[in-house]
Amino acid sequence: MIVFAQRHCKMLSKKFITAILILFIGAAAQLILGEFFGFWINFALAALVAVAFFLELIQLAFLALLAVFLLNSRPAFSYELLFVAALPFLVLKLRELLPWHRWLSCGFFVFLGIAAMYAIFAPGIFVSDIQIFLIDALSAVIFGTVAFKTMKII
Amino acid sequence: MTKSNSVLLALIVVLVFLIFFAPQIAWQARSYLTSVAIPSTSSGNNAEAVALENVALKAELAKLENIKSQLPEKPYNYIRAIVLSRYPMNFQKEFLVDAGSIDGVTEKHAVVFQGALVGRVSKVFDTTALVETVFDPNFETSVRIGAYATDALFKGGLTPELKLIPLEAKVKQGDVDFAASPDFPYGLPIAAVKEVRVSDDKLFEEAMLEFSYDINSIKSVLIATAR
Repeated sequence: MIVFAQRHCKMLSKKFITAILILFIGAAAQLILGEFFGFWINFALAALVAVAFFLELIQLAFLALLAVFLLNSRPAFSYELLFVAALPFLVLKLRELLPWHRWLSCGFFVFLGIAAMYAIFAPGIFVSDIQIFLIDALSAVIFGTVAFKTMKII
Repeated sequence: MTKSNSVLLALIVVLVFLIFFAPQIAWQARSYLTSVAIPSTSSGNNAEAVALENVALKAELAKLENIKSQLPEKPYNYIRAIVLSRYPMNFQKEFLVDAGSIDGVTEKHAVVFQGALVGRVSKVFDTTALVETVFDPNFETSVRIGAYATDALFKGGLTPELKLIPLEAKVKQGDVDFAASPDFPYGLPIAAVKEVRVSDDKLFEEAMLEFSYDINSIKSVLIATAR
């Protein structure tokens, strides 16, 4: 039945299903690690950036909103989640611009995105706790690169 | 527009609705996700299944006991609240509780855990409220330290500190700092002094702090309804 659906429905393409799984894994890892250790790594953002290299606009819109739904922690507007939802669309536009390998571009965009988030929402951390930013960014880059390679294989 | 795109558009509309009108579904899912510690099994062995169910029930009981142990006797002028979700990034240290304006919660009031000040209400909704914890980089309040009630400034962050302690103050390791801001009930303890040092500009002393609780394990708090 799934094979039939995949043949006749682009929405259920292997890449799209894999992208959803990667986002779920990233969001779950972010939430579980954060709840237990109080340290939050932007795995969901890294997942969104990685899958933005392979999906179409409408599929990406669905995943971005899914990420916002999963990460939302308050019944109010959040600029941080707006950023998380918007960055993948920027990547979608710019993904072919960088001259090097696409997986390097993925890592670059993840690092740049997280650096931009810290610069916008908590610039003080660069001065007081730079290690927080470095651990967050490097872990997310590794996750994003693995997610990219997985998407490429599928 | 293709059929698959129409389906995706419909799903997007559903997600937008959930984000704005039913975010509690995601909070419940998060709570379930983080509380699931016992792996499920599909074993056909009855004895093993019963033993595993027993373990699962004990785990559930332990979880409830844990929550119960964190529910202190409710003092007068306090509202009890359960932590629903935590802010999922490193920029702020805040959590959402299940008490809001209809319960009498108002902004800036003290949030207490096991007798210690853990934060203040930063935003109030109808049935929920956001709590800015003392570990939030934006959290600052005036405090007094130890038996001499030395004035100082509590500065939040990943490792909260006491700033602006006069050089001649007799602050030592183990002294407890307590709230001295008009926003909070006077005398609410916050943390104990771990280490005292002279500030970089040599004009004041600063102190590192030691907390008696793990902010990530807090499941329920008390919210002051009067200052």
